[in-house]
Amino acid sequence: MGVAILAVLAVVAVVGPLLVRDPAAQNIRDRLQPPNAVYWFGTDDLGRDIFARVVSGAPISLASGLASVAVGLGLGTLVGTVAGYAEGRTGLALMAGVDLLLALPAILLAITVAARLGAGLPAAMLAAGLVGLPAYARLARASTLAVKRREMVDAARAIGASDRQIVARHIVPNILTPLIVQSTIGVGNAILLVSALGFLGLGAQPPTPEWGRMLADAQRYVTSSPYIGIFPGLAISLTVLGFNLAGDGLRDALDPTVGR
Amino acid sequence: MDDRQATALSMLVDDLHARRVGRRAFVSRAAQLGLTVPIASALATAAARAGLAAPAVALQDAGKTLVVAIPQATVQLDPAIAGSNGYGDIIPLADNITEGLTRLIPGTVELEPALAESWEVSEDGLQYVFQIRPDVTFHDGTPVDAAAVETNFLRQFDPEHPLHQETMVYAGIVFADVEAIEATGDMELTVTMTRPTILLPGKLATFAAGIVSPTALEELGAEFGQSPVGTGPFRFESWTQDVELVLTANDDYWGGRPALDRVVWRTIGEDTVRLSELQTGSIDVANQIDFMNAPDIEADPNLQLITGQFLNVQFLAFNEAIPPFDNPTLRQAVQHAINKEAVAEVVAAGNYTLGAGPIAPGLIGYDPALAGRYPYDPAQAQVLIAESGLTDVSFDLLNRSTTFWPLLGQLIQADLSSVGITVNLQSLEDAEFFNRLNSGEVQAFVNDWTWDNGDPDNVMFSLFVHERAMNRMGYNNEQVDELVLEAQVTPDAEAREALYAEAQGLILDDAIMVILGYPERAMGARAPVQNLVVSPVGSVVLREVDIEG
Repeated sequence: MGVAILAVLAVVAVVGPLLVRDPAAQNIRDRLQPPNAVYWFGTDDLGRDIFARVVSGAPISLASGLASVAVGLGLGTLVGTVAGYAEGRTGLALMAGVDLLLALPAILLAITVAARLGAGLPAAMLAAGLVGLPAYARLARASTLAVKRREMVDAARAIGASDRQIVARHIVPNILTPLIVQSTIGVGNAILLVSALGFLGLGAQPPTPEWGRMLADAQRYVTSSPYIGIFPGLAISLTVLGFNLAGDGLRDALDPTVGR
Repeated sequence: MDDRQATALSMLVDDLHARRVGRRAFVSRAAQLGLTVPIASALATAAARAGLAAPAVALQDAGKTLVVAIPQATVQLDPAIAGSNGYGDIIPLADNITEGLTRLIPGTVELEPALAESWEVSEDGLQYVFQIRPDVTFHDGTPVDAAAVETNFLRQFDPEHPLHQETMVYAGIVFADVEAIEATGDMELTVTMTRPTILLPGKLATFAAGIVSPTALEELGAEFGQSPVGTGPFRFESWTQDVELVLTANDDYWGGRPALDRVVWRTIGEDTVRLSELQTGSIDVANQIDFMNAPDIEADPNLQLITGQFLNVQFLAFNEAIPPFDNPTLRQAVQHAINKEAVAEVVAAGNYTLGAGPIAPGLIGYDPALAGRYPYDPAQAQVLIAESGLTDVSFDLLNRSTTFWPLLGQLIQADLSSVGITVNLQSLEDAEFFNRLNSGEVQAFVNDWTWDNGDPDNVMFSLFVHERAMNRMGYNNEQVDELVLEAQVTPDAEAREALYAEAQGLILDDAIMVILGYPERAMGARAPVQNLVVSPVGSVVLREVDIEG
């Protein structure tokens, strides 16, 4: 189910923007129209086609979710693996830093980072990535601790492999599965967070048709023209749901302890 | 509920009313006594609004309380400092808690005597002699006399005065061209000018010239802004910051006791929340209703929409000190590229006069013909861009992040994109927005100006001659300066009009800003609220307001 939603989204994200109207084109004469045959999702306060904006927002949200996870997964795995492999003081110091990040409320941390770097989509992605980092770091460390005690690691060390080789060739490949499951679910959270930052004005800047931003713009019309906010809201929900279901499915498929 | 519980509940309501417990604590304790949360919550609202002593006296007439919601936060309540914070401070104060020597007749720009009973100007126009209204006392009982007014003015005018504060930012505007202020009798105050400007009586109606008790100023010092003492129709009762500010009727008001017994001011930033609180009856008046929602109010028999003259101009301003708008041809090109009709639609659902010159409709010097100076003509804009010699023009445009401002930014962005100019929008919180503006490094910004008094000089001087023009727009046109200063000392209305016409013509030639237009203003109120009018200067004056029934 999740994979099906994601497949449809991927197609929409790739092909959709080529087929719809210009998402930034304003047509004041047609502003605030409810959904109709011409404008399937209606028009917003500047007379822009909401359908075109929601479709054009798909690649932006998907890309921002994936990029954020790439940041969080990359940095988190690095920190976690090193911490787990080294243990001792280095490990404790690294994990203390991670715990510190974890202690900060996610949205506050994201706002601080995004505000520090200046409003914009790249800053929002980086912020969402940093928020995700602790989860990956802890997961990577725990898995590394388990893997490094296996005999194959001793064997590798016995034949003279360097620490770097051991981590890269033997440990990382063996801890990837839980990380992949975690990051699939993480994409949904990251998209939600990037949208939240967009809603607060710290993410994508106009006229970029980013879903969170569209929700924020819809606030003024929540009583008179609710459809302006409903469609981007649905798009966010559906995408996050897709990633969460896919992540669950992946975990079930890969986890031997879950029965079928 | 048994007797013991009922007693406990009445005590709890007492506590709530006396602010010994907060609303949240009240609801949770009432719930422990067996009330459901919605009922406890409704009771808290009722108790807070009507000032009930206990549920047993729920039917007793607790007086007329008006709950007014404004979008801006109140920071402090010293009128001399209010200008540095904004309308959240100004609205509860101006002509409600404090009054000046003069005031505007509600809903108009006409001046009338307030704490000055009368005044005279010397023949050379350099001396104003004000007769202070007799038998008026401040809310703390201190009598109002010339010495009290002198203290009020000197603490703003004289930087060496012991009660002076750096944050009295309006002193330079209100007391511009003043040479000396002196109590020349028990009830006579003389103000000597350096130039014979005709603006002083109008400026003394500005919120910042509100007169407060010198006794309280001495006693409270810098804390005065937490519990102001004025002469107005309402006296300060209590204030919980970010929750509510409560005023009560001044029984001894010189103009007669107001009809309302209490006024509760609340800050509700979101337009839609203010509207829904009005619809549910939690508030009686919502200041600044978005015209998008006007039909909802008009369709509701329990509500009324109040509209009226409002002195406000919205503009897109350039900084001619830095590229790209150091190029005058580019500034003119942008003038032709902006579709002001779309602005009118998006900002105020058409309740908007399209921009002409800086002076708003209803004032001397407003000239609708100036709108023809730069008609909407994208083709002409493109010709001018080519003439300017610039290619691939791109700039940062700052806008405030509240209400319609981000939309206005996007409209301009799209209009300019269609003539080949790239606009990078930056939506900023008010404080950050004004910080950046004052840095002088902003290429362009959209903003507005609401008149502080009913004189065209308020915009002409403040925006184009005051150092603000140089700071924010790098603008300095000596001819404009001369004309505006000349108009300040020209009593004859026709001659003034001619001077302003010439000055506005020069400003439009310089194309230093695109005058987008003048929005109207709407308030929403419950149907029984009477005599409430829109103030041209953005205040909410309640002395004549009543609640029917």
